Amino acid sequence: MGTVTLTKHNRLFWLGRYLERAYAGITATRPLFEADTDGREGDYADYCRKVGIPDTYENTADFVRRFYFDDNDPNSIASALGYAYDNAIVLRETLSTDTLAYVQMAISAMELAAASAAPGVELQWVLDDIMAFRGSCEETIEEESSRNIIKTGASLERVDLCLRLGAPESTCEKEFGRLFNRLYKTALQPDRDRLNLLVDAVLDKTAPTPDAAVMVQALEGLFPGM
Amino acid sequence: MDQLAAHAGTINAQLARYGVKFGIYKNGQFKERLFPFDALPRVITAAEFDTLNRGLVQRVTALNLFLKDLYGDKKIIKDGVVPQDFAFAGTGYLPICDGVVPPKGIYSHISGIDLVQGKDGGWFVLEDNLRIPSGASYPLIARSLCRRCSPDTFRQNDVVDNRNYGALLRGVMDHVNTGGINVIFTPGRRNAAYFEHSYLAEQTGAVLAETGDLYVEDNTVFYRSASGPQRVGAIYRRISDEYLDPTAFLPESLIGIPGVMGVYRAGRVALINAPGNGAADDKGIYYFVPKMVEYYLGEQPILQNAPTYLPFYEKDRKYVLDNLEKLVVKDVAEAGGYGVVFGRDLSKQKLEDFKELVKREPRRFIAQEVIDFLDLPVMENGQQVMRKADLRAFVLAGETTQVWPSGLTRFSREADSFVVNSSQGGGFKDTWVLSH
Repeated sequence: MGTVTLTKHNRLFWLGRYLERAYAGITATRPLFEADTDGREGDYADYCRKVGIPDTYENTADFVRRFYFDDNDPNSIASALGYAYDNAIVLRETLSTDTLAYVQMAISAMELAAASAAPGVELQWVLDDIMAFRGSCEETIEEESSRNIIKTGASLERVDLCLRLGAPESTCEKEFGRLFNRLYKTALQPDRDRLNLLVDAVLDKTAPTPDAAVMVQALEGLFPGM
Repeated sequence: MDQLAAHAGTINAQLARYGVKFGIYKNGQFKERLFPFDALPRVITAAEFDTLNRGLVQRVTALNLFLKDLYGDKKIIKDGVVPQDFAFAGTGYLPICDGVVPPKGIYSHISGIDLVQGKDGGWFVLEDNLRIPSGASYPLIARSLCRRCSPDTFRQNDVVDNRNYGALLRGVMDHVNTGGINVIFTPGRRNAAYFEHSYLAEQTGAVLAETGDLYVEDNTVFYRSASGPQRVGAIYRRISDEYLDPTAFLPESLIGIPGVMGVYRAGRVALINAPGNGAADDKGIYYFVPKMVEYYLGEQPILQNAPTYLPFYEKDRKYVLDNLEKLVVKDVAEAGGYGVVFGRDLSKQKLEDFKELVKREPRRFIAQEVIDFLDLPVMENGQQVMRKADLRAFVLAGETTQVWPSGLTRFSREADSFVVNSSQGGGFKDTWVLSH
């Protein structure tokens, strides 16, 4: 752990969360992107309701344009990447310049996608850059705890989305397993009651599974102060 | 060189990839901009660098001796070489530092000396920056990227490697360290030079700390690490004196380290550069630097100042008032290209108004002859154009005093403009020192 402050823990965690929000946001809304390509209307309102963002969009085309590319929309993918960058830029000496560059490249690819007639191709680069960032973290971040804090942030975001979107139980269990596995390799201090609720919900097959909304609430409050 | 120009697009794409930016406040908004880079380097021959090297080491050695004297015995004042009015009247002089000798007696660890080359090839010093000179990181990263983009260029030219800046800086930090970790202390992401702070932390292996990460206890500075407090032995602070310690300077500063000046005065932490260095890089004190070289070292200055006049002296004031239209006047309290007035650009009325101002506040200004300095080729829209450029050379004082064999060449992006500062829209080049 060495020379990482608590402030940096917070940034590493949110860097992981925001990058995953961008990654999962692109992949989860792909059907809506496809619908727009076909000139069909998709159920973007359902997506907004499930993930808890205000539905301010006029139609599917407007959703695709603004949810992906509008950095003035705080819920957009572009904004998530911007927030990830805000956290990453103050972690250069922890991440390394080479690793940090992948966040910058994802933002640049997003900007190219916004101006492109075929944004799907550029969006693929956004996903590639996020994946490359993760690989680079493995190679360049010396402290295991720091690496695992980024992964914990990403895992928590993924589980959160799985629960909200009603992913199959097996998928949720797999993602919870990853989250717990990573969490114990960090110096993060989770709220014990909330953690127990989540662990019981996943591992205790004899007890009734809590409602997804209860689990989302427990997840969001898992790390007080973050 | 043509190869480098041909790769300019790739090099700039690499600079964008690595986020080589600087911050700027415009209309109250903070924005980050890519620092425009021109692939054609400034080239300094080995013989030229030899002169520069000796001159810069001589100058910085004299400046360090001046600071030691100014905050110590004040012999140069007593001997009348530097007038008391100039030595103590500027805002850079800090009475709290009087009698304090920093670790290893070094005041200016990293000096940024701004030079221009006249059309006859001679170099003139324009300014000494002894507080927190920035800019080394830009040619440092640019060189690595240029080498990657055009390896043939570097196979065919014997360029002295400049990628050791991080090691040199680390050496300086280690040399003055009083026991503990090395830290680079940044005022944060919204600082214009944040890229540099974070990049140099990575290059030196120092910890990048910001407000709240450092605290003072038992006359010791600690870093608040997640695994417990760690003692700090050297702080390369990238924050101005006035914000450094709210208990000693501006009490409203929220970005400093409360109590750090007490630890520094006790010799228990090194501050890089030392507080109070502004007393020696005041634009008014600049006039006296050649005299310092003679006074402290008994040598003739190798590098010349640009011809400078101090309106403080009656004779100089008369000259300035009689010749204002052909001089450049600088407000000694300003930096970053601000407070610079070219007499030739003023209307008749404004010229008269400015003369009145100089008469009213003679200590506030210096005046210099406008040096018609050498233009350098710059690529603009695929064409070579000539632009004014200066050079910021970096001199590092640790166990020895040495000049980094490179530097930040800044150029004006406007034809006929002499203003090269990044905050005013200027760009930068790499600076090559040839090994032969």
